[in-house]
Amino acid sequence: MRLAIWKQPQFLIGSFILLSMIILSFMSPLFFDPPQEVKYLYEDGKLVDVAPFSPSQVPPFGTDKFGRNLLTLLINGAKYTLLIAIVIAVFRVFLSGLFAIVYHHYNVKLRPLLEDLVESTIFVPTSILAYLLLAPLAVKQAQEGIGFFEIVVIQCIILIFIGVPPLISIFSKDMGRITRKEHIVSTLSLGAKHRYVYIKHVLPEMGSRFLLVIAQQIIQVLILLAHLGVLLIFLGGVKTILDGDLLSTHEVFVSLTGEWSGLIGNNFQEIVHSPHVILVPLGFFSLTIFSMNLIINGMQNTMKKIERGAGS
Amino acid sequence: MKLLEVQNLKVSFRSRKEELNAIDDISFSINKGETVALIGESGSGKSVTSLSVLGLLPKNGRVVGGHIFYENKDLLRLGKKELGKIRGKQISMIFQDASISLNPSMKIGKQITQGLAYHRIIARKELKREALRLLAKVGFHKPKEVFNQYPGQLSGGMKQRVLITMAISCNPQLIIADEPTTALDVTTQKQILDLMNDYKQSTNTSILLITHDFGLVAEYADRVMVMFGGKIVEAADVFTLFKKPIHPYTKGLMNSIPKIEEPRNHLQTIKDAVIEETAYEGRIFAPETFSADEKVYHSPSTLIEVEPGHHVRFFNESSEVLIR
Repeated sequence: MRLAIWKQPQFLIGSFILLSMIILSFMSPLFFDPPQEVKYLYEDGKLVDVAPFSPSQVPPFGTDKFGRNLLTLLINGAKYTLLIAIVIAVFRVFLSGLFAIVYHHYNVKLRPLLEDLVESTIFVPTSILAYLLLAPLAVKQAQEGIGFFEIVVIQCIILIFIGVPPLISIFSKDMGRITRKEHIVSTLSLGAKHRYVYIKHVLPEMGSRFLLVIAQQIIQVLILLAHLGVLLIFLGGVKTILDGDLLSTHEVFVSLTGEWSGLIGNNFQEIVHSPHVILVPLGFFSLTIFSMNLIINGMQNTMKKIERGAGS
Repeated sequence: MKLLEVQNLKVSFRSRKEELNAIDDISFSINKGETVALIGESGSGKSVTSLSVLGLLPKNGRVVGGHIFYENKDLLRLGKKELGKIRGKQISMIFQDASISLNPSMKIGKQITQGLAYHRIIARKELKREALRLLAKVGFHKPKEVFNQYPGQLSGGMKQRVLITMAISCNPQLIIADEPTTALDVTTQKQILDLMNDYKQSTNTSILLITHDFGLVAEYADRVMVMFGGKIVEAADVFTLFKKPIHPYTKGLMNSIPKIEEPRNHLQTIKDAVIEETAYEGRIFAPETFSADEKVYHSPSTLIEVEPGHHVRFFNESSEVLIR
């Protein structure tokens, strides 16, 4: 798998896009100044327009409603968005894998009941569940002030555990399928304990499946983040900036990290007059999901080739 | 000397809310250095019997009665840890289809040494040397090459040899061979069985040979047990069974074998009337020639010793009537 995957052009292209965004994001302070809030556009001393500015006015992607350059914001926010999505996806799969072993191995009598419970949670919209759990946290942060690190950790834990139950069910079924294979019975007939079977046979066989599910989970987390952004839940919490017009200003909450869902949430009311403010971040989400899909396709092609090779 | 003794073994499987009997009151024994064949059609309960001995029944299966004594220890009463020490080291198993019985993503060398490493029979650094010795013993001319190969790189016969290597790696006293040659061509079948036979003779190992091939039974077994519908219907030494089969099912099986000297347009089949659906896709046997009324089919059956060492299952005690 390790060598064969690098021969998959889809995997290479997807990885290149994703890594480029993350590296560029980390290096962005070298190339871009921090985004400035330029709310008014003057020509010959006359006020001609108010933010958000269109891509033709401020190339290449225009600005958000606070007058901040969207390209700078998106590149700057990429590292938070993508790394947090990756971390959440990895932990979801890691924890689900662990729980699945316990669930598959021990809960023989309770399994039908637990499976019904898990099945029922699959149909609850994740974004609503996440909103219900994260909204009180946002309120608490606004009222009492919670540290950046603390809020990121709590938000990540919530987002991790929301995705765990369905994955336990999926992995447990996969493990059941593997442990019913004859080569496992053959290993047990040699005297091996179940722990040995899991470590030497089941988990290595699940390895490529885990990687595939991590990639799928990254996409799910990105979609969830986009939805949460619309519901004004921002990863890493919020900061206040001044909004308003020449006559009156007021403080508004914006995403502290500048991750992409925050951009969608803060500018959602502009969707009719300045759709680019929403479409550009969505485009970046789509580009990431597209690159993740390329990675997944590359992995699936490799797994199919390996399975065909093993069967021959 | 009895090495393994199975007494009144009963195994059932849970299917939805039903409990289905797969093995119904099986008793047999295997002596040291003996090859005992368990023969019967698919679904008769042969493999379930062998898996019961090693405590490897699927999760929905369970032993509901009987005893399995191995060197006077009841395997069914042993804890997981104690049973683990017997598996592979005392009793090992050769599976039917080597292409699925080997882990496709694990090198052969690693798979062969699993039992040795688990039972800590030799030092870890000696494992490779022992594996190479075992591979050479089962007829591989380039053991080093095979050691580093994956199952997908080997032929069916080679994979079956690897399974045998795994089974004999810990010098077990009893090998259960569950249709070890079914997936192989005739030439390779003979090589594999000769290999097992040579090993048996050189080490005085006992073999429980599970098969549906009377040809193999005739050549390699000392005693034979014929199974049908989860029951042993006839058991005898190999010469007696072939010379004087008594149970109609045994006769039916033997008559189903094509004979070169008797040219026929059609092969003879066992025309059994389906009397009763039983567990595990088995049926209570009731051939056309078996002129007994329905009451008989449902009567309790017993194995009766018709001559020394020759047991036949009848549906009532007046066996003479039913044999006709």
